Amino acid sequence: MVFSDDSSQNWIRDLTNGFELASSDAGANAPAWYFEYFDAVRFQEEHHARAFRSSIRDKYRDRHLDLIIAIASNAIKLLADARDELWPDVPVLFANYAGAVPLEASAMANASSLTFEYGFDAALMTAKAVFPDMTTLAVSSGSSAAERLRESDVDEQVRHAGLTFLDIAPVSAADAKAKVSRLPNHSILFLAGGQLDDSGDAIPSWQLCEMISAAASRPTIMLGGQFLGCGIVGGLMRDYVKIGHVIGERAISAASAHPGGREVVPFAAISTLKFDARQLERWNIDERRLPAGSIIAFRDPSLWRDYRGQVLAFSAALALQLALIAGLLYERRARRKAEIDSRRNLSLAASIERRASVAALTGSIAHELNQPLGAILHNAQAAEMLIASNRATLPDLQEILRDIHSQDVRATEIVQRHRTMLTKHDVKQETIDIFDAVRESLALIDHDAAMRQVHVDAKLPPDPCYVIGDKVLLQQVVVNLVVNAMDAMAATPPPSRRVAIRNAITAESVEISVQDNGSGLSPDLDGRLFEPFVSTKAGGMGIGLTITRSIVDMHDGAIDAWNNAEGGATFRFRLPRVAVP
Amino acid sequence: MTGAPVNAARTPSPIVHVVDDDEAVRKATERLLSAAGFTVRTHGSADAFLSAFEADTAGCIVLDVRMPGPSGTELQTILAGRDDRIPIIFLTGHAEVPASVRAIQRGAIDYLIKPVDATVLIDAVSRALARDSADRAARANRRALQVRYERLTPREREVFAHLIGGRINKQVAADLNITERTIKLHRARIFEKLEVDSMAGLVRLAIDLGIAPASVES
Repeated sequence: MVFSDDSSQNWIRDLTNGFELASSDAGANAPAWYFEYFDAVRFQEEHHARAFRSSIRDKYRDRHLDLIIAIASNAIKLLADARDELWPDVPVLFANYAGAVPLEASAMANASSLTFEYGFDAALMTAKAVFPDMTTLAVSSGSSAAERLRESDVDEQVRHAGLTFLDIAPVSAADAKAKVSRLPNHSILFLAGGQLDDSGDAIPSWQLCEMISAAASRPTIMLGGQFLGCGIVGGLMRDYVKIGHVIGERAISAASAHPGGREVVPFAAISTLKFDARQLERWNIDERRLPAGSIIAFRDPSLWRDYRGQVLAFSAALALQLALIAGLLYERRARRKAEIDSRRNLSLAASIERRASVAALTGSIAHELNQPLGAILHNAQAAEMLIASNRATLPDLQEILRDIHSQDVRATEIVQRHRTMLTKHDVKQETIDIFDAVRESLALIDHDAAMRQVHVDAKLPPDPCYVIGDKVLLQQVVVNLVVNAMDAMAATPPPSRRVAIRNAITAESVEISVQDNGSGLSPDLDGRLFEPFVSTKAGGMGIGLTITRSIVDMHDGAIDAWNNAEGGATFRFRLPRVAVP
Repeated sequence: MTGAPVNAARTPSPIVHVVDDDEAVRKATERLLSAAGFTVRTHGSADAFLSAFEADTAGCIVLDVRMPGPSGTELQTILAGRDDRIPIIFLTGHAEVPASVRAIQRGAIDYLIKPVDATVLIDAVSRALARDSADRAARANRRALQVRYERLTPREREVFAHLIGGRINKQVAADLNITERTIKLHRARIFEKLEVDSMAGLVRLAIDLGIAPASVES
């Protein structure tokens, strides 16, 4: 690999780094590289070129080489001239990073060439996106750079982009500093380099950039990515590591396949969107305005600063959550203990059985009542807030009061519906629709069923079917049987917890059956199912089914129960029918 | 400027979604929260909410636990599977301690028992919106970190995985059978692309993205 320049140049170092990365990608196929630096910019004398040629000829006399790579115009020219003398049979790859490969070189036998797009137009578009109010591109270029710019039609491209082109043409370093300190508004300064100092020597580009950027009254940009950090804002910039990577990749594939062809590598493949965080801050450029995928360098001091607030907030939220969960768990333990204590103190056996259905009913009342109560509360509090903040209008308040009234009516209805279930009363003899009574019972335990994740599947005909008796007591029968069925399914997995309510009508009677798929009737009970104080339930006293049977008996009906072939149990009661009242 | 989270887009005022099948309750809650200054939208069911909800908009949900169709708890499960998670405050007509513990463990802001006092509800909604805003910023940051990580070439990701395992350059070079100098180069490129300036920053980024260190046989 022969470079035009000397090895101390930044961009040469970046190129070399690119080769190493390409080698790293190639893994075991990576070749050994040899690097030579022609240093033709500083030593332009003919005798140096001669000495360099003979030196590398001697040095590599006994080495087998697969490929020669010449990088940049001086090296390309040297190789094109001296190829027959040095390595006539070895393939050559000519690569020029900022300009075309001369025709005589790329036309050689067994040679291929790589050139890279200059990319000024793409870089200019990016600058326009970052500085939307930019109207002028000022260019600071010394004599050598000015020539290069003319070759690349930079001024033409600037005008084509709808911007004013302003060449500040400094005659000295001091003149440049003075001119850039009073740049027009809405301008951006493009540094093209090539400035000479008072004694006529070129000022190194990095120092020049630092000097001009510090003095400039407007943001500065450059095309070479190796300059990020000298004071320029950044943008879409040429990345010599990527260029080196592309050259390395092509070299590795050319060394293992055949050479040939001319390739122009697009700017997109060799550029990187990079910005200097300190300059973004200096020129007050919002990071969110930068194109997607922009890399931000020199962020100070570290990312931790970006996140500290959030990390702390998350920790606090987590601690709060844990405390809340602990609190709820503690509350649950306390409640369970209280439950056990109060249960122990209950002396009346019957009340335990009653609690099961009462609990189911109170759960239902609580849930149903909380709806209208909640609505009333929120309406009232909304009205208070509106009044307190002087935002209340009469129609608003009237509407709120109307809603409060209707929710109050709803609450009263709920209380009345349940009151009849919960109070003692004499046995009535009325003509009632048994299906209607069953439907109302199911509505009462609906909440309890949902809590226990039980699906209640009731198939009841819409036409009424009349019996004579006490509606509330008959509802108690249905509630008891369904609660019983649900108890039996405690160990059944929730998706299969199902209670089927079915009916059968004959000329004289109507049957209602309650079928579950729970644990089934215990064989121990053996015909004593409806007898008092017979129970297989942990907390049960065994009078629920006794009461149920006595209610059915009271209505001249019958009740029986059996285990289903497919699992679970079915309870069925039969009542005499009467004709339409 | 340097302290600003990446791409934290400015959002319009957050929306409090009230999901309840009971129209009277829904209307009253909307009235209350509107009076307190929140922007409120109401939905009669979980499905209605899902079809109206625009992904990745700021806000929170005030959600009834029991509803026909998908329940509040089921809606929480559906939303938990999405990227743009939105905080939930449950309202229930009935104190159910295990259900509330479960809901809180799964990320609910609060589990309130009806009737809920205005100050309690408003406080919960404020906390939910604060959490939502923090969550959304964190998600945006994570996405930004992911974008940075995707800049790495396959080889760089390999080196990255070795570096975050606490291996020094020399060891990584031996692991991957390349020179130590190349590792240093990879490292510099990785630092630049990920916009970190220290190994600590690199490791923290790996943790944030859930990237595991490479396992190396010693």
